Amino acid sequence: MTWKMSKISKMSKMSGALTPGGEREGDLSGAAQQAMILRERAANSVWRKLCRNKSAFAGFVIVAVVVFTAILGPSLVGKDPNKMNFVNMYAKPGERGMILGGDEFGRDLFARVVYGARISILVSVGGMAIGAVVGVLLGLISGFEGGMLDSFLMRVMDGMFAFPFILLALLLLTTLGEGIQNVILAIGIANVPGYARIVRGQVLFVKNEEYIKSVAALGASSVRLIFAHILPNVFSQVIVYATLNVAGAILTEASLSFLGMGITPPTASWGGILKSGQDCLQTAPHLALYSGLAILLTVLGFNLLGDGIRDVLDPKMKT
Amino acid sequence: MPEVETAEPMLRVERLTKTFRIKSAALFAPPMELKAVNDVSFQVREGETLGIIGESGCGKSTLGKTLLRLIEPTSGRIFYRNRSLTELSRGEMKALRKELNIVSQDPYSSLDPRKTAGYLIEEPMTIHGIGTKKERKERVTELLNMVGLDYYHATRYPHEFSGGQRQRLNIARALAMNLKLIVCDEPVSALDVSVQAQVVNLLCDLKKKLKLTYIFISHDLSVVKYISDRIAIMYLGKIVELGDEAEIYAAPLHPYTEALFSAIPPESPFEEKRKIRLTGEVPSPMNLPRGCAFSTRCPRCEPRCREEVPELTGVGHEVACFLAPVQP
Amino acid sequence: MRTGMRQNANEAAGETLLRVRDLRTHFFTGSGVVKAVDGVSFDLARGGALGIVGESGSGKSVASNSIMRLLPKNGRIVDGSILFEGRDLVEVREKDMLKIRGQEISMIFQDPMTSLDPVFKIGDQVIEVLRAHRRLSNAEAWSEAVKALTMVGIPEPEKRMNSYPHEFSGGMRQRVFIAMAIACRPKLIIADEPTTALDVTVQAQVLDLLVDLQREMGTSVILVTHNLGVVWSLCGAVMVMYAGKTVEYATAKDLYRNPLHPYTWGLLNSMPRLGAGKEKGKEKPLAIIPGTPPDLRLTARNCNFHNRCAYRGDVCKEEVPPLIELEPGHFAACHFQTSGGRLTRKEA
Repeated sequence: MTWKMSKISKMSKMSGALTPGGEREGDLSGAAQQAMILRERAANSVWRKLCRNKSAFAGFVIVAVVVFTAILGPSLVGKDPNKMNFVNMYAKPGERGMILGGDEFGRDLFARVVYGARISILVSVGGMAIGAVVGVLLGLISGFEGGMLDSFLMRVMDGMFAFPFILLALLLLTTLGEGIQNVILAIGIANVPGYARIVRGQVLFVKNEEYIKSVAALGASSVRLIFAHILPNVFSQVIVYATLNVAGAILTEASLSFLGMGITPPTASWGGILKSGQDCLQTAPHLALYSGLAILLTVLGFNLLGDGIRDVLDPKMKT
Repeated sequence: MPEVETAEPMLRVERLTKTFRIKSAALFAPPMELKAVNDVSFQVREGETLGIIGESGCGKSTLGKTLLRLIEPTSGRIFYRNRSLTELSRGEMKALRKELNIVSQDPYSSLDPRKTAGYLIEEPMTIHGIGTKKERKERVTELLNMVGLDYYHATRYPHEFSGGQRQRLNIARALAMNLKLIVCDEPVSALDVSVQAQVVNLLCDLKKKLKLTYIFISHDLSVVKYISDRIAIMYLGKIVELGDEAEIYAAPLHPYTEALFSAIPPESPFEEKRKIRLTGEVPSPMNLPRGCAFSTRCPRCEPRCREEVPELTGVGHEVACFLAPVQP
Repeated sequence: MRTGMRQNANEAAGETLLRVRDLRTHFFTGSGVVKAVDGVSFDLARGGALGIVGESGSGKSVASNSIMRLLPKNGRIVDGSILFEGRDLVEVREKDMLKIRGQEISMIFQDPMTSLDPVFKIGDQVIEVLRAHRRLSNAEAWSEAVKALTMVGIPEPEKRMNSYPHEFSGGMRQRVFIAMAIACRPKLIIADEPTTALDVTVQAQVLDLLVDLQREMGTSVILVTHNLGVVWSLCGAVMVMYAGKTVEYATAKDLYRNPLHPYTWGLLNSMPRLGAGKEKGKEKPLAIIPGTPPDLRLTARNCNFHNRCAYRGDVCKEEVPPLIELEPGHFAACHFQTSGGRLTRKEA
């Protein structure tokens, strides 16, 4: 069912110039015009625009570095982040071959921060994904069906909204117990209302568009309307929200770990390192400094990227 | 309603009414009723084009959508080839959508911006499960050619087409199924004159080639007159005059029709218009005048017009006005 | 231009108020330079009315916005002159332009629904325009505003001064907007598709109003529209634009009686006519101009109309045709319409 541009332009190359279009199309032959449209599409592609937007590109680079670190970092560090060595306790950065120094148990801080990136990304992206999938589905159904179902779902979402985000996640963690999968689940569930709201609002707008009505007039089913036409048209909003949401999820994970409810020690996580750094801010500030910096940079990166994507996808929202 | 034809018409509409309920501004006041289509009856014969003219807010678009049950009518009946559309289930109606469709007003908003032309034209066939994938692709090319586009246009997105081309796409899409009756809702209003002529010609060609029946809704009198066999003039949800295109133009019977014709801009700088200028604008359909809907603006209004609602009467050339000359 | 325009095409006796010569406004975009206006010339007499006619994308709105110097950031007047009472508006400083806008030249837009600020009373909006250009006391401003509303035929103007835009219908809003445009008694009103959003019966009322105002106040009017019928009812002169260029410029009567450019022929032919009788089932197809207008990034190398023109020759693909005065006050830009030879118009 897909209509690939490349295939056709190959066809047109084989058959030489496409003459029939020339008469109707004006100045250009069909092939030339096709080439021009391709060029224009390329120039206006989201990727190109993103690269032109400086801050968005900076955000993209940061995010890429963090993700790269999360995936490959551990194999590059070559040190066990959990190996204790009391000789190295609170070692200063650079001492004893440890770039960022040692922590309260003499573990290599650099290795811990790198391993922490893996946890951070896993938890935040995982939480975002769960929230997005469930939230988008609820939003689509709620917005499309309307009526009682919509009222009911949205009141439930309102109820969840009324809880402070952290409190909600804490509550869920207390019920579910600790552990990484439960942290992801908790963050995911706490994220659901945000997606549901955004998607519902967009659906209410899109479903009244003329093109949706015209598909309905062809006799299309609700499933087709929702997934083939409405979803693709609200998706850009979801992507923007999701990118910004990852930044929020990283902070949430850090806060949960900081509060001692998230990732269980000895697994390295930025929030956990930050917490242990809190006890020794006077004597060994590097603990809190580097874990805090890691959080700051990553969150900044995702925010810049999210804002950039929004500007690219929806220039009207730019202020 | 007097029967003119002995043969059963393709579409018969009886006392069709669509009332919208509008929440009133006051908190506890009852909702107000807006009669967008008010007791409308007419027939469309197979192969003819019925033009529906009216100003904005007269309910012509609502009428078009109600005919295909894109908006559910409040009361009244619609018969398509002797089947009562108003009584069909959703599934039966879906099957019938292969034969009935609408080409809508704005070529800019009526196509999904994230789908290619090929997908959009193929979609009606996918929905109704017509043909294999390969056959459908071939049919798309055929349809593109039929409306004056080329096969390579299939890969383009709607925003990569001009307004006229988009309207062609819309038409190709409607024709993808085995269509019999098309409601054209202002299909050329958003287009430039030269492009408008292209689309009007295309519609006329297709009608002849495929034996289509059109209901052509527009506010542009000259286009409607050109394309239609019969014309219905609507004012505030009601048909005020209905008859043969040439007859109505030569001798309009309703004062509103007369005013409408005299308001058309001149066709040359030498033309001196006979001027019948209506004062004011169309009243809100939420509080209709008590008698004839046109009585508030009618230059010939009599006391009776403010009290009673005139019915559409006459044979062949019907008119809803107390003051119209009596038909033989 | 080979021949300068000596005589005005409209009222020959009238003094020229606006003289536009070879105006070029280009937009600089990521994908190339869009030559939205690329060679527009016309004269407008004091008290005269000129219609600028063209399809969407022909640059007619950009041309009129260029006169007001209301262009988006990426648009620039790159060449040409706009002489308004002898002053070249292209050269005028932005500060002085502010004084000209609204006071000497004012504009009426297409959409009466969005061109009034919904949160202010209409009286205040009219007064604001007056105050921007004239020192007036409260009472004077009020009475001037009422006068303006009376002129455009708004019933009970005193009372309506306190109404908000949403309390008006479309036609009434357009009247209010016209009242704002004439409040300072401008010498020139530019109306950009003023009746396109209105119904026929209301359109007729607004056109009548414009005709009356032009007559009573002696204001000059530029009417930008795609509807030739609107032009016939109001304008003495017509300029036809195609792909950013003036292709023909003449009095309305001359243009109708004796159009010279093939594009104008196509435009006149493609209008469906009410008067034309037809036999049942045998109606002639409408005359069309095949094809679509060119991409405005690729123009300026040849005649912009060559690919759609039934009379084209080789020269049309090679050279840009100049705008020539073929008959007194009648200009056209076509390689085959010269003082030396003429085209014969084929039957539509």
